[in-house]
Amino acid sequence: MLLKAVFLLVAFGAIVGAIGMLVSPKPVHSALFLVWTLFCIAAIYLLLGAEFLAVVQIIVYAGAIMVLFLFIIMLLDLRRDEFGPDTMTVQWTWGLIFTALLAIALVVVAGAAVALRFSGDPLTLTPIPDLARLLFTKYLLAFEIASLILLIAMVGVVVLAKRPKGGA
Amino acid sequence: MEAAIPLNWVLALSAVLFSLGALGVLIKRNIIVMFMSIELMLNAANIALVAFSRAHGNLDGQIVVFFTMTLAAAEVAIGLAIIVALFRIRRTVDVDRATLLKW
Amino acid sequence: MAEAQVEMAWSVIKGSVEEWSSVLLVLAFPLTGFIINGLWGRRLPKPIVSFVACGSIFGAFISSLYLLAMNLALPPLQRSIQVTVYPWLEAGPVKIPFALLLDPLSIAMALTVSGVSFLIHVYSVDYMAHDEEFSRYFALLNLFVFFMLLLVLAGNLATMFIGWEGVGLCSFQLISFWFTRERAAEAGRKAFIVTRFGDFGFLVATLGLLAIFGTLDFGDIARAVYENEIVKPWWGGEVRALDALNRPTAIGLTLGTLICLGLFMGAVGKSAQFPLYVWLPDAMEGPTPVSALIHAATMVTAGVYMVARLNFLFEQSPIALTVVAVIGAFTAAYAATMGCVENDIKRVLAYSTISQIGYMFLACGLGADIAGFYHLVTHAFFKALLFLCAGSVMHAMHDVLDIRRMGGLAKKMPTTALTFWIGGLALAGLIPSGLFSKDAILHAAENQKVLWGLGLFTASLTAFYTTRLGVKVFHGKPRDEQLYEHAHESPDKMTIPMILLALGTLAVSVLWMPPFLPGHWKVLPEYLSPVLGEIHEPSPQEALQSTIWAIGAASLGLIVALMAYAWRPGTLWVFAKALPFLYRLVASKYFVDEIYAAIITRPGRRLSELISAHFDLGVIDATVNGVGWLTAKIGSAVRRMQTGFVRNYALYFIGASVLLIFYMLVRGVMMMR
Repeated sequence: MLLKAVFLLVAFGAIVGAIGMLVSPKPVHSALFLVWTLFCIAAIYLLLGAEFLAVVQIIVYAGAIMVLFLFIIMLLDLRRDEFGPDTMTVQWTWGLIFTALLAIALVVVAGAAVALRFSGDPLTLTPIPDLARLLFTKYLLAFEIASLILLIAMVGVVVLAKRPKGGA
Repeated sequence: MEAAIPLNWVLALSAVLFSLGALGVLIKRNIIVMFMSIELMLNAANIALVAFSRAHGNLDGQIVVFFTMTLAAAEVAIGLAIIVALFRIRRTVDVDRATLLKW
Repeated sequence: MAEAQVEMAWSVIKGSVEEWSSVLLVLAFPLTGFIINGLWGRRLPKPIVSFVACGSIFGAFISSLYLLAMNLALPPLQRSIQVTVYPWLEAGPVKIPFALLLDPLSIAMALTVSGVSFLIHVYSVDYMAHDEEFSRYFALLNLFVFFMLLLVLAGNLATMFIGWEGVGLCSFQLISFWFTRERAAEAGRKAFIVTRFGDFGFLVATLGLLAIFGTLDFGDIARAVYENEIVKPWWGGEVRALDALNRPTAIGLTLGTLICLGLFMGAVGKSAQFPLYVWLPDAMEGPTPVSALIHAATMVTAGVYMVARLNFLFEQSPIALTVVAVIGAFTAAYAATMGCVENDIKRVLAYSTISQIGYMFLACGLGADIAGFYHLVTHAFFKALLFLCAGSVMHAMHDVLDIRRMGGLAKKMPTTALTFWIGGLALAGLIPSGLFSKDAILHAAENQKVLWGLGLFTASLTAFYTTRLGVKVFHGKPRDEQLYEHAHESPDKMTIPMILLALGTLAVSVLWMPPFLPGHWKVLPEYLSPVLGEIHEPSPQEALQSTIWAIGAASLGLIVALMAYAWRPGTLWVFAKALPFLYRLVASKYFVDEIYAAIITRPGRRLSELISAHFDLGVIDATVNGVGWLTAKIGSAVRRMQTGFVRNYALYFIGASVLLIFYMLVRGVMMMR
């Protein structure tokens, strides 16, 4: 009972954060709202017993990725969205329609997943050694490739963000 | 043992967050905010993965989330680099101004 | 007539290819000659080309003689051998092999074809000596002989049709041999298309036979007809063969009659009878030896051969036989009239050929196939001879064809003149062997007074135009001094074949002599009876009477011609001037060409122009262009999707995925139900 209430609270918080991100006119505020949402999601991971992921979420997502976003916002000196009136009404109409449909569809699917239940006590934490074992045996190849991808990303960023010689 | 948190609720949350992210992608004109909406979508998917991992009782779902986060990090790095490069030329982050790929 | 058939050799024996490999030699020789001369002829020196060409036909002739010897060694009633060379088409129970039939008829015909061909090949060596396309000529001539022999030796209608079409093709090629001349090209086209017309009937009839008998083999069909076997026709069930043939059709004629008429249509086209004769006079545009070989001795007789080959079918339909005889007799007289006023030396002979073939069909239509075949053989000799003489004259007169510019050539070309008269008198039916063969036909026609009368009338006309031709060309005063100056006798390679053909014309008369002559040899009838039926042998008195009628009619024509052209020149012009309309009618060939042009050619051309403009351009091109136009239109509409705005693209993404999710949801719900 308590768990349900806590979950609902955290979920509500996440949704509020998401809406806030969409609504704010200033990009910095959007980023901060997203950070708030990510924290709520980390809390949900905890509620589901994935404490390792919760921590990784905070460290990587909220701590690194969002910081990167904020850096860029600062670098590009974005204050307010000063774009002028939005002429593409088609996006608003069809966007809302499709998104609503999407939400309905997915929630219907979610509601239909009655057969699956959580097995075991949801609050039992995942044993990290098991996670590690899985990572280094079954998913070893993916692990290696992921590290390669990170390397490529680093190189790519440097190449992309370099100023061209002889001025922009 | 009665499940404390119904699986459906978690999945519903994931659905809602995903839809909100999709809405953001469609509506916002600021590239940065659009990108952030994409990150939101990714996170919604992660929630669903963790939930199912719990439901099935094995850890494969969590491993996938782990990798997803890794890749999200890499993707954001490159994406933002591209935005910076674009900004240098266009001097704006209005996504409607990048329309060279048209007929 | 039917009783005699019981003894006939329609128990066709299946021979093996190894045993009868000499028949393959007969075909292989000319084919090899074609391949060698066709592929390498241009690079070989002319003597080699000639040797290969003539040698291959000589080889075919010798092989045919060998076949004859082998055939004669068999007992008389077992001389029909079918040799299956290759199992060609098989579809379920229907088997159409590539097969040859060796029996007296085919061997006799093969001998005639190869023998006369050989002499004409030798003649061509000198006649075409100055032509640049020497090797192409001989290659085509060899190919023609190959196809003709295939036609003659064929064991079923399908193999025969291969030969049939093949000789048509070679004829087309050879008529338009000098294809740079517009007239020659047109003549070739005309020949091909007109004979195609007839071939349509041939094909439909063949299909009909296949659908009734399930086979096209001559032996099998003949046996089925004679022994009235059970057949399984296309309309289902089992029925006796004769009942199948006598089945009435929607237009009142029996099935058998229709089939025979269809086959005869092919014969009419190929053998240039009325109304499909118009191509033969124009075919004279080709080299003269070609006219001699193809349009006198061999290809045009293929129709007669086919009717004789299938006599067992024609016998079952009196109507078809009547049609054959009537068209034969009519064509004979009709063509002879046109020959009388023609001034082109080759065209006179062309009309003469049409006329004589009419005689052969008359004989076949009356059931006297052996008489018709005899005339075919004698005609091959003397008509080929006459054409070679014409070629000799043209050679001397620098290719002038108009007899009004000739005259008195006998002094300059005695050999040609002599051989011409031998051939000409044989054609007129005044000397053996032409006398004997024509007589046999006329005797067979005696009971049909109208046909007999036409036959006699034609005999008179034949003698008339032949004499006219001979006198105008070889005797009297030369009408063109310059041409006469340069005229000379032809070289040996041309005159020797002519002499041999003249001797052959006389010698062939031993094949079948009339009963009132001592000796009374009946070599040909005895050999062919098992295949073509017994002959009606008249008593010597009857035969003599009939012969007197025939000679009398011919002599009448001869005398009139001599009077008009030798003794009192100009006599007939009085008649011509008195009846100008009649003269113009005949001289213009009864305007048949013009009628055909108006009824068939011009409407046909208009029709194809209409179809080409409306259907080909309007529908087909429009469709193809329309597809292109549609693609462009769709493209220009769809490309508006590429707005360049990322948000739009994202919208497409999400919209499509929403649709997909809904689709899967609905399917899942349906499946759950």
